[in-house]
Amino acid sequence: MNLIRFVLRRLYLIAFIARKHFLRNALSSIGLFLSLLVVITILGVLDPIKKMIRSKMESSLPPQTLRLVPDLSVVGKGNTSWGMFRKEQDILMHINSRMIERAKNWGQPGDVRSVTATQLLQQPAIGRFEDPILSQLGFSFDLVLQGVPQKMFRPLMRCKVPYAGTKAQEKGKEIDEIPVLVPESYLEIMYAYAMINGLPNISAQSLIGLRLRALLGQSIVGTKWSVTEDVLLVVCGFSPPGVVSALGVPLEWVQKKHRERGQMKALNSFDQLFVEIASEKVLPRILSAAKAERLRVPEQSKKFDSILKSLEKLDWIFMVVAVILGALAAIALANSFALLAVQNRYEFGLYLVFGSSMLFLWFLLAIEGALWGFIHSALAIVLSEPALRLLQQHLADLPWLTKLSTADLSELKLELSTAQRAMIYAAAISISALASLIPGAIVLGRRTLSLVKKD
Amino acid sequence: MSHAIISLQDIRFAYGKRTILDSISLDFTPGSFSVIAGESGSGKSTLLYILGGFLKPDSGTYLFNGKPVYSRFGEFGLGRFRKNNIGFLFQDFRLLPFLTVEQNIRFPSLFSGAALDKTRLAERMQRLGIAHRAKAYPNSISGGEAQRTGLARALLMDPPVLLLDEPTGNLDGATETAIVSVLEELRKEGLTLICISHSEYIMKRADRVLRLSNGKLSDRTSGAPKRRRKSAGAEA
Repeated sequence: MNLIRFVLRRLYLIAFIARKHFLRNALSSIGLFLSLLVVITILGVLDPIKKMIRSKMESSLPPQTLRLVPDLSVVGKGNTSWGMFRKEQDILMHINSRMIERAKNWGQPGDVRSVTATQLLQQPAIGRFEDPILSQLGFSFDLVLQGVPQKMFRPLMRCKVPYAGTKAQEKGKEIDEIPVLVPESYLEIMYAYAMINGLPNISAQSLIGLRLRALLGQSIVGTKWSVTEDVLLVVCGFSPPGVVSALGVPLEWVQKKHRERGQMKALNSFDQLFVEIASEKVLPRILSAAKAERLRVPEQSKKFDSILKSLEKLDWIFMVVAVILGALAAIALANSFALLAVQNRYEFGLYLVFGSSMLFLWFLLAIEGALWGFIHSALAIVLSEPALRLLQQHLADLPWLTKLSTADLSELKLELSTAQRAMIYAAAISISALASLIPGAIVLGRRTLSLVKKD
Repeated sequence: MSHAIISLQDIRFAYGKRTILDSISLDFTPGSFSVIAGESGSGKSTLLYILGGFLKPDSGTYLFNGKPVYSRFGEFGLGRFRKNNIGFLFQDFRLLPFLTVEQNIRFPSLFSGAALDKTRLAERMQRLGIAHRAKAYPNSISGGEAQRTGLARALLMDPPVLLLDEPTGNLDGATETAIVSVLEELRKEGLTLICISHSEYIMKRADRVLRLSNGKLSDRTSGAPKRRRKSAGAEA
């Protein structure tokens, strides 16, 4: 009970001391609030965007999985045959099932955990949107379909269409309806197309479930095979760079199509190899084995490099602004508290007379300062919530995010983590507590007597 | 001879090279009424603030109830020492203008862990003749009422020693008489009064008058002999 009474009295004292300076201190410490808003912008907006870009640059491959592609710079060197100019260029895709088997034994036993591969459908295809607006505009494009193994495909699926696909009835005919993963580069084209034609913005989320009609055996440039076929592709997810380079479809379906047309070379030809290794230690051995097989690790996407660099510059600018604002806030607050201590020295003197210690007076000043730090950080965090939500909703409309908005922005969460919030509170409280304590302590601490003694 | 509540032994204090108090040794017995007089700059305020636990002397010993004050207590301890042992009354009253008379009197209880005895507070206000002004603000009360409010505030925590810094310097003669009679009553109850004053009236009512000159106790003029004999007074 005594403890509660003690705490309540101390709280009353703090409020009592703060009462006269409330408005002045509120104004003096407003810079702290502004500084925190800048910090929140860095942490809540720039950081998530940067994180997303980095993850895209680093691809979405599982850890310790190598993506290997044929090294086209060495393929065919010294080969005098004209085979590489044949229509079926599967000779370039020299990854075959034998190589896949060999890859499983690369390095020492146990170095390689698993090997998977993707296969390009070696048939021309035209794509058209089944969407009423996009189809009326006659938007069609050449398609490259890439068979993706189930293990890699499933984690990226966001629709209810089964991996194996289904059959759709159309004009009394059964056609394949299969899930498709759209690469972000395709999304960019669609986004640009929609923008040029004054269509509503295409967001990645709105594309899920959208149907694409693939006209197999035909191409925009006029190629037409003797047998053509329609297939419905349901947009089921998005493939980040480094996993799928064309439109991703089930590998088994691609292989079925090769079998149906008797494309046996194509059936045994793969364009990318994914090798899961035991640890980073075995990497040199695996890379050496891959090089011997004329395979290389492709450079990671540099697509977002420039954006990332710009964002990092922006980050620095914001950080400098935040530090300047914070410093100004600290100076203003320090000045306000020094003034407070001078103006109220007799009042503080009375506190000393009635039993307060000088340390307690310092404590009161620090607490009041800390209170301002808390108020401003709480206010900044509370106000940032709806602002970040609003920004999240209109992310795709922001002009400087044009390039990114073609990516799946639903992945992007503009928010502050609990650790970031805690950091903001701690920093603001410490800065303002020190900014109030130090000048106050200097003024009050010069001589206790000057607080009590009349001039 | 009663035991000294306050004992100063060879107290010295200087501001830089300027000596303010030079080897002061003094005892104050409980219930004594001592006046410290002297010219401006003679060191009387310094002595009062040393007694109040605000100013640590450069050397010497300050014993309160036989216990050393400055060497015994840290900063927190000095605060507690002042709260429990010392009441302080200022010439300029030092009332907080945004608090009523009653709130001003209750104010020291904020620094106390103990609950406020409201009945006692009401009695004291009644006795000091300020109960009827309880809700008034300092700017609407007279100098005498303000000083009685200051006195009630200084006595709220029942300190054994009351330090007074020219308590009647801003008051007229009649009010001074009233204040001094209240102080005398309090002294009869055992309160030790140590007062800085130039008032002849107060000096006459005191047990003894200590004169400070150039930091030394140069003269000791007794106040009212009868009272001095009665209370045994302070001893230097």
